[in-house]
This record gives sequence, structure tokens and C-alpha cells, in this order.
Amino acid sequence: MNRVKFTTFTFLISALLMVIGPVMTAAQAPDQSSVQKEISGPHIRLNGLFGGDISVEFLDSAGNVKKKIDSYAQYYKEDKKQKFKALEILVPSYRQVRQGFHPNYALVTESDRMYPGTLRDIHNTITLYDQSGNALFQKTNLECYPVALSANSGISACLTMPVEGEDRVFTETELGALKDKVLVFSKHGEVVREIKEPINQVQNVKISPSGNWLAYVKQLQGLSNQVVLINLNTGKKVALPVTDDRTVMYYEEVLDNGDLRGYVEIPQKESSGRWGSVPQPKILYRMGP
Amino acid sequence: MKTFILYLFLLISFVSSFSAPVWAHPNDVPDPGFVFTSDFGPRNVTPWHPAIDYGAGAGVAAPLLEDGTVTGLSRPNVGSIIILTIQGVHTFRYLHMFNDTVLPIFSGSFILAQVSGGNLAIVSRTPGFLDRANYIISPTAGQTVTINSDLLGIPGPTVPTVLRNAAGAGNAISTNQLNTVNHPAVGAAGTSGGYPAHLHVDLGFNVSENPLYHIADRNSAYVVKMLDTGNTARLGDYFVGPNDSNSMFIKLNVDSKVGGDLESVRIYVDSVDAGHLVREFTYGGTTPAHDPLNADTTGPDLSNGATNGVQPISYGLENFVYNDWNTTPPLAVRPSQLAEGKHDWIFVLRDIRGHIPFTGGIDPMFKFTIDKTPPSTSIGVKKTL
Repeated sequence: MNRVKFTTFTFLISALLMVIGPVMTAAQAPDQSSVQKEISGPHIRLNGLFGGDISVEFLDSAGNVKKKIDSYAQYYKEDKKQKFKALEILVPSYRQVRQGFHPNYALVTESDRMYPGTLRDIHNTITLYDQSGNALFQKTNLECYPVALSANSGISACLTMPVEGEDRVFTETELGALKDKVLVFSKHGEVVREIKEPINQVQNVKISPSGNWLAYVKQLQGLSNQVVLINLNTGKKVALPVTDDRTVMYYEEVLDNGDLRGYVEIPQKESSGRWGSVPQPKILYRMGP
Repeated sequence: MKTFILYLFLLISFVSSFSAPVWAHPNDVPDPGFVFTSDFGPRNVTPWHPAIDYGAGAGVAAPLLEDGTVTGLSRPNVGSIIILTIQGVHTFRYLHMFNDTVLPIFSGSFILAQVSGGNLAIVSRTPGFLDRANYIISPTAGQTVTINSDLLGIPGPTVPTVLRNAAGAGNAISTNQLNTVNHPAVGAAGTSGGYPAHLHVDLGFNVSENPLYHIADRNSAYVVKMLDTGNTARLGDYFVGPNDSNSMFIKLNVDSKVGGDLESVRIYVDSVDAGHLVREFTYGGTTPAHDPLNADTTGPDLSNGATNGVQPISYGLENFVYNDWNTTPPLAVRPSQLAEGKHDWIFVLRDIRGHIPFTGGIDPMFKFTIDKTPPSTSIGVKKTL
């Protein structure tokens, strides 16, 4: 009898929490309008984040556009070979930019590569711009693709990927020689660190705002994965346990103290009657002391 | 007492359900039904195709083959092959969906876009509604997709629009747990990577295993022909002489287009046993390892039509070539050792499921005659006036 009472009590408490939980979370969520801020000085503005070609604009103090760069993607043929050109723009966090923050840096990649068959003849030119549209560095003829950019320090990561994809099987010898390689560039383009991992494993590279920590995920066999954090100042490496749990591996940010942060979307009906969502930050891993 | 007996019966039934042998058929995924345009096996230019290509046109819904977890949806950069990986009992990858332009990409009843966290997502749109989604597939669950209203076809000023769920009762939220009932399609077949529209299905990066080993079988109806050095089909009961290398040249032309699931070719003389095996070729499609036998065109086994190995011609069409009949196979089956007179070739081909892939279910045979008579000396005739 007591057990029945306890079960009923537990059920009622759980139900109550289920009802008030989302209300509490929504109440704690930051007001979407408060993150919109007007910038008076030179700043970067991104357009097309919800569709269409992305463009980056560099505005002066008066809000005039000093420089504009448009992304594009196009095929062309040369010497009967199918080639591809693209211009892509990387910012520290698209989520933050969508919420109204203006990024301090933009990394622009002009890519020239050849298809079909295996991807080859990759010639990437990457340029890091500051808020005023000044090029801080430019590197040409790279085979890597930028994958991460820190918000405040301009440190970036460039990943050289294996020759992935169609119609290609490597021998074991070839496989052993091929690596995923992450080059970490300073704001001025020097290589400050080089990270190598087995082929086709590195995913979700992020750098903390001040450039203290770099995080990436090793995608292992099946569902197994392992999150790795590297302190870019000291070289200290923290490898989380290998796990099949896929919660932590989808962090969106690594913080300056090494914590990993993701977001939970809280659905919310706006005053206009439309549905929106309020992202609630959630620490997925704490670095600890 | 009756209750006790009932409980005992239930207990025994419960335990039996675990102890009974479970027969797991490897081919337990439904056939998506598209025509094949490229089969598993060797290629001339790119050395090996560890996959099946289905000829699905751009925008055609690509069916989810098996329940599982979305472990990857990637496009390393604009223009790359779009790769969706789903881990269930097997790991199936779906390649080339959508095209190569910038996001969001609209194709058929699907959109390739980004979820709020930045990962890629495939949206299955709700018919009849511009801003609703039946479901959103992404490696990250619980996130929304926002697209500008003008791209969705919504009239009025352009505003970022969060896609709503099919009932319109809230936001559509991404999922990374898929099942064939609630998520029948994974996206739209397309051209990403620079190829004509098709759907490439394989079992993982660097996995050289034939996906058809795990996909419901189609009836196979292969055709084989023996060709001579001039690529002309030999007639039955042709002569073989141990002093005539042309007659000992073996070139088996295999047409496996109906079925598209060739796994092995074994060529015997007179009897199907190891002592009568002349040459075997296998594609290694049933094992995780990349272990084709005499067919690995990443190695020395790519034939130019005259040298030993496999000569890929087109989808479901290959020549299997062998020049060393009189030097390498067991002595008993070499032309110099075979008794003069009539003999039989027996062509033992198997599909990926070990079936005899010929109409009627019989291994085909082909007659030849051993003739050891030395070649006659030609007689020159002096030209006279």
C-alpha cells in the first residue's frame, strides 16, 4: 500500500515538473530582443543567413558599406575537365550572428578544385579580415578548408581532409599514410599548431573566443566518438572517454575555460502568434580546475 | 495451483524466446526499387566502386533503407558530395543527394538547410504548406530550421521563418533517430559532387562490402560467353591444342546486368572440385575486408583485354581473362595433360547471396575438344611461269 502511495506521489511530482519545467526554462531564457545591439564603430554585417547567397559587408562608423564580399558556387570546364569554383565565408558562430552579434573577424575562402572522380587539384586561398575590412593575412595554394575561427583572437583552424568519396578504396598501406590534419593559424597567419588524426575522423572543430582552447570530435567506428580538447597556449591535451553517447559531441562552442556548450531550443509562441524558439545554453562538459 | 502453472508456462515461454536460435537473414533491408546504374566491383579509371548506384533522377525521394541513428550529414564545402550516414544494424551511406549550390537547396519535396546550431539538415516538407515540415533529419536532434520567407514562397516582406511541424502546432524539431515508418525518405537524389543525378549507397567510408548483401535480392539472369583473342564469341566444341596459345586463351564475358550482384566467377574443366579448378575471381563483396581475388584492379589485376585479370566494360559487363591455363592450374586440367577428345567447361558463377544467377538455376557448360595433333607444316609452292 505504501509502495502504491509512493508511486502515485512520484508520478504526480514528475507530472508537475513536466508542466512547470518548460515554463521555468522559457522564463530563464534570454530575451531575444536584448541580444540585438547596434554598433556605432566599424563592424561586420552578414546577409543571407536564412537563405540565399551569404555576403559579408564591412561598415564604417557612419554605417556605410566600405567593402562587400559575396559568396558563390559555380562549375566550369577547362581542358575537358570539370572544375569548380566557390567563395565561402566563415564566422566564429553563425548562431550568434543570427542572434544579432556582429563578428570581429570573417575568414573568406576562394576555392578552385576539380571533379569528378576523387576531389583533387585543390587550390584554396584564405584571407582573414578584421572589422574594418583589412586583410590580416592571406595564404594561397592550400589544400585545407577553414573550419573554425575564434571570436576575439582571430585564431583559425584549417582542416585537410582525406580524398573522400566516390569510387575510391584505399589499400591499408595508403590508409595508414593518410591523415586528417588540422593547421591552426594565428591572426597573422603563422602556423601555431598542427594536429594529426587518422583519416576521416576529425569533426566539429571549434576554437574558444580568446583562442585558449581548441575542441574537436573523433568520429570512430559506428556510433563511437571521442571529444578532444587542446590548450593552444600550453599544448595540454584532454581526451574525453570514448563513448556511444552523442550528446557532448554536438557542442556548439568551446569556452575560454575549456567548457563545452550546446543549446537547447525552447519552442515559444510569440506575441504575433507565430512560433519561434529561444535557445537555452547548456554546459555539456566542464573542464574543471 | 492453476495460477502457479500459468506463471510456470509463461516463464518457460519467456525463457524459450531467448534460448531459441535466432535466424538473422543478412538481406533484411527492402529493395528501394530503382534501376541500377553502377554495380559493386572494379572500374577502369577509378579502381573500385564499393557501392551500388541507383538511377534516381534529381528530386526523386531517396528511401530510408533501415532504421538507425544519423551519425553524419556532411558537405565539407560548397560543391562537395553530400553524404548522409545512418547507423542501424548496418551503416548505410547515401551520397550525391541535392545539388552543389549554396544553402538552402530546394529539390523535390525536400530542402537541404542548416539547423540552428549550424549542422546540415534535410527537411521533408509537408504537402500543401509552404512553411511546414513532416520531419527534419540532422545529426543534432531538437533543433529548428529557419529559412527566409521569400525562398519558401510566402508572399509579403521577407522575414526569417522557423519551419513549423506538420500540424502547424509548433516548431518542427530535428531528429537523429530515424525509422522507415515515420521517416520513409532521407532526401532528394541529386547531382552533388559533379555527377549526373543518381543515388550512391555504400556501407561506409573505406568499406568494400557490397550493399546488396544486406538489401533484398533481385532475381538474377546472367549471360556468359567465351571470347577468342579477337573478341569473337567462340562456338561450342571448339578445338584446343597445347601448342596453340590462341586456343588456350580464356576470356569469359559475363553480363550480369539483370541482378547486378556478381560476386564470384570460377572456371572448371569437367568437374566442380578443387582438382579441376582452372581460375577463380571473386569481388570480396560479402566481407568487411577489401579482399577481391584476381579481380582487384587497385593492384595488378586490371586486364587490358589480353592480360590476366578483369576488364571492366560497363555496368554489369566484364571480361575475365586468363592466359596461364597450361602452366598454373592443377596438372590434371592443363591442356597438355587432358586426354584427347571432348571436355566441358563448367562456369560456376555466384551472386552476392550465393545463388546460381542463371535462368533455370543451372551452372552453364560449354564443350571443347583437346586436339594434340602437331600443327601441319605448310608446303611452299614455287611460283612458276
